[in-house]
Amino acid sequence: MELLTLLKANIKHKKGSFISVAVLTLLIVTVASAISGVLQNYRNARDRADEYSDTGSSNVIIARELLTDKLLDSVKNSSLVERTEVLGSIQSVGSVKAPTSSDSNSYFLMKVRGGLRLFNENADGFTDEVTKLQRGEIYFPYGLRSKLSVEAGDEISIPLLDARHIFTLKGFVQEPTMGAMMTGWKQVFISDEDYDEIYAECERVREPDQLPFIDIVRIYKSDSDMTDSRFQRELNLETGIINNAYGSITLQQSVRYTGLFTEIICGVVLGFAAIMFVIVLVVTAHSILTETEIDYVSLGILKSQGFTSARITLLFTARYILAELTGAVVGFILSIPLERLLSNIFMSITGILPDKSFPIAQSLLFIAVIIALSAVLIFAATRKVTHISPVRAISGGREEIYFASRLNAPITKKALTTSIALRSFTSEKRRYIGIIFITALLTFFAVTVNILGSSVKSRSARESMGYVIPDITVNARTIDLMDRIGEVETEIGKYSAIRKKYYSRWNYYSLNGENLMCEIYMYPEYIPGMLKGRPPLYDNEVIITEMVAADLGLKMGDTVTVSGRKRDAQYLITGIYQSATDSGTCFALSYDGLRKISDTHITYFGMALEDTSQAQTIVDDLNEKYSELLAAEVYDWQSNGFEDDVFDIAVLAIQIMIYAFSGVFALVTVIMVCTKAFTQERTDIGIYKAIGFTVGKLRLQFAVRFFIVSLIGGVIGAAAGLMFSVNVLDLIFSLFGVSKVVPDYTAFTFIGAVAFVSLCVLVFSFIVSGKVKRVEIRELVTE
Amino acid sequence: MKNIILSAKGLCKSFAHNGGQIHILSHVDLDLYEGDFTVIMGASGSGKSTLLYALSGMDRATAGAVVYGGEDIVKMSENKLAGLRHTDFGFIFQQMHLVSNLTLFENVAVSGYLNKAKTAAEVRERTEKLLEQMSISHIKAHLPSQVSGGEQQRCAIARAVINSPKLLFADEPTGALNRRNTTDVLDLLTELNRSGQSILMVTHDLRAALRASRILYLEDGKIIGELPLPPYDPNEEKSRETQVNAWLSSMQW
Repeated sequence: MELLTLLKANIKHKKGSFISVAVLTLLIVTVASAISGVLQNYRNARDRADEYSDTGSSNVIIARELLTDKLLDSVKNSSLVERTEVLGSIQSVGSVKAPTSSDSNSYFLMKVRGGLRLFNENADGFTDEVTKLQRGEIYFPYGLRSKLSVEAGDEISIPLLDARHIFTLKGFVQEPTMGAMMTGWKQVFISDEDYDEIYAECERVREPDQLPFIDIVRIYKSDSDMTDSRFQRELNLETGIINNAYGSITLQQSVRYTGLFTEIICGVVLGFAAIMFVIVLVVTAHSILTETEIDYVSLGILKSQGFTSARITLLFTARYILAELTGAVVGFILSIPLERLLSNIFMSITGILPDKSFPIAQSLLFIAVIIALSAVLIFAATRKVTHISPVRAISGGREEIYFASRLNAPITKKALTTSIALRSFTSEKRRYIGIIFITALLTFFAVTVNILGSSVKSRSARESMGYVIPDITVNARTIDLMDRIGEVETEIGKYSAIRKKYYSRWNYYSLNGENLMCEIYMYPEYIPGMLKGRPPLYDNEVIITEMVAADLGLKMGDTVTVSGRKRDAQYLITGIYQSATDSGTCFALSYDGLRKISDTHITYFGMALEDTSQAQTIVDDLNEKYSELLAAEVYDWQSNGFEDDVFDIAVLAIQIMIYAFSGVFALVTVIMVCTKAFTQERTDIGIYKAIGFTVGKLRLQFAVRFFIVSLIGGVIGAAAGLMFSVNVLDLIFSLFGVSKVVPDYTAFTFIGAVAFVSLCVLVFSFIVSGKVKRVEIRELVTE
Repeated sequence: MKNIILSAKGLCKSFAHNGGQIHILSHVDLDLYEGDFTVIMGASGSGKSTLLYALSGMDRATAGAVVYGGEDIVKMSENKLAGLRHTDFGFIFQQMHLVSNLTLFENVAVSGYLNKAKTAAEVRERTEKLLEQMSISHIKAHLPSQVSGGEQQRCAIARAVINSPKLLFADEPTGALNRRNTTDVLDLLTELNRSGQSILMVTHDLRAALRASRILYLEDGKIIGELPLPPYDPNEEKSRETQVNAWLSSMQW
């Protein structure tokens, strides 16, 4: 009973620390519960969507002409295969146009089939059945809604061979295999009548070399224990279907690409929340130790009245655990709407309607872990209580000599406020270790996201990370461009020398049976992102990414077989490189190397110029002189490229999240630590007031001291950032396929982070120091 | 005819308590004169310290005026009052209240540094002189926690006079000291007064009151008696003590 009375009194008297710990716990529980809920609801929904849609273990995209009966039979008859399903489609050629956007990715027009689910008007559920489409109507997968900024009722123009067809967007469907925002292929659905009519029209007008009819072959593995990639590889080795395909995507690949953004953002946030929890533990320990010091006399009196150390420890533990529980309960409640909000945001990227359940058991377990870890820490921090001596407590609680320090900053008339602030810090440095640690950690994260941001925005850094960044791009209108490119180069040379030539194309080929994106370069010496070895300069050489090397167990010096549709050849791996193409699952050949397995031409000509200011003039000139041959464009590398868009959004989201999180944590920890310091220094504040210091000067002195402390933490954090940020970034970038980050930073990268955290501390501590106003000099009176 | 340095008119101070008001000071009228060593005495709870704090601007009166230099300090802004504290007024507390993480030298110098009229070198020089005068220059680098109560109080006096205040307020400056230290501190204050320093001191220590040139007696928040005294002479302490004692007895002390 007496413990309960003391507990109530303690909570009332120490509202500040109670609220701070509760708020910090609230933040962590809110974010962690919501994020884990988002992940669980997405993953569950994704599994069910695949089940409903009957997604194949391997989904092969192949021209109708190449899917011969013999090939299909060989697949069907393979012991690896349980069953197959062939879905016919017509492929768009060119740019699909919406009212405010366009998209050059491949669109496959298909008939509405079973396995699709139609989103209702609010996009928060499905209709009972997929409404039959009328002529001129089209369904889009949900991932296109935000990608193209379209809504039901919008007009969509789709190019098919020489004609453009206009459709009215009827609604959005859930198509899990390719329906996500970041998947380059899209299945779109039209009425049976339109499909048959367009099919017949294409059949009529197409040239012999045009292959607009694409079959999507869904192949289901017989051995459920086999991985999809192994199944596809072995099936290809047995039947060669992938070698003949335009591309393929396994169920596991689809799951990875679809959830890439969600998993990365959620993973980073959860990781950051874990670090924030460490901060909560530090703040809690600091608070307990400070309280023990401030309340030394009261605690000593309690001891003298018969309270054991164990009971006092229990008192502390109960109060802090109660604060955490309060925060956790409120956080848990808040996480429910937050989870819903975030799930809706991620739905626009994944195209999958997330589950609406909330992972209560998971959240409760999470809260239990937080409480358990905190309890251990609180117990350890309150050990100091056992050393409290009632006799010393009653005599004032202080050591005979305190504040003695070897490192004492001088007090000067000039910069008096700063020198006193510095003295306050140097005379009791231990008190500030916690806030130094916290600001160091926050600065480290701020530096990391700054480097992340600047690396993403830096041309040289991006090139080093495997991005092709030309100044102008030239797309072939006919295959004649390949023969006349020298003439085009001469024309360009009139304005500027060409620094780098990225003459390339991208095709899926199988490497040792694994269907992978192959990047083909006419000038392999310009392949960006080399990590080890050298580019494939000769026609029997290939380079692979680290991800491919790991997946297929390959290394430099190994020989691999690359298979085209008609031929295959052996290549020696001469290097390891990194590329964000297909999230790092790709390899590269020289054009000469490609010709051993295919007769296709280079269709993309990117040029980096010596004089980039001439880019627009060159493009105008080329488009005028060679309009029949090519279409030239200035390449805006900061806004171009599909992966870049997703990547930029992800980076921006991470930056905002970490800065916002840091700001809030800085606020709460500063309030908590400053309040404690304020309580400890109340008498000194009164003295300073009595000798003529103004409230403004005292507040400034308080804030400057915490600013100095945060600067020290900031410098430590910045130094740690310089040394270790790249490791964190490697981890994040590897999810996009970039295994070695080439950091790009300037002094501002670090100064900005230190300034952000330190200014937060300065401002927040200045606000907290408003309490100085409430200190009355008469408190110094001894009656 | 002495000049009035500070004048209180109808000074009241009350505190809210349990929904009601407790009146500590009740319409106090008082003039303090230049060069006087005024002592306020009274029983515990009579409002001595409250009056001292109200007169010095450390606390605001509920009603009335405290005129200093032609201005009512009751109506002064916080910043102006702060300025007054480091230019015109000095204050000595019973519990010394030195800043715990500053050395004795720094405790004195910090007050001096606030005075814009003096350079840092001048402040340092005056601090050295004062510490010498207070006989604590040998421990000037010590922290307050490392010296005795008497030494702390001498440091507090040095701090109070670093800016040559026009009026020095002292709240029971010997209340926390032993006999020997009490004498030392009182000697210092007497010496300061002899050199022209105006002092207003609250005490209930008879020995301290003997140093006064004027004693005021406070009861229930009102000044009910005044005893003017000739300048202090240690050789006449006995007769002075008898006179003051008799007067205090008449005040029901």
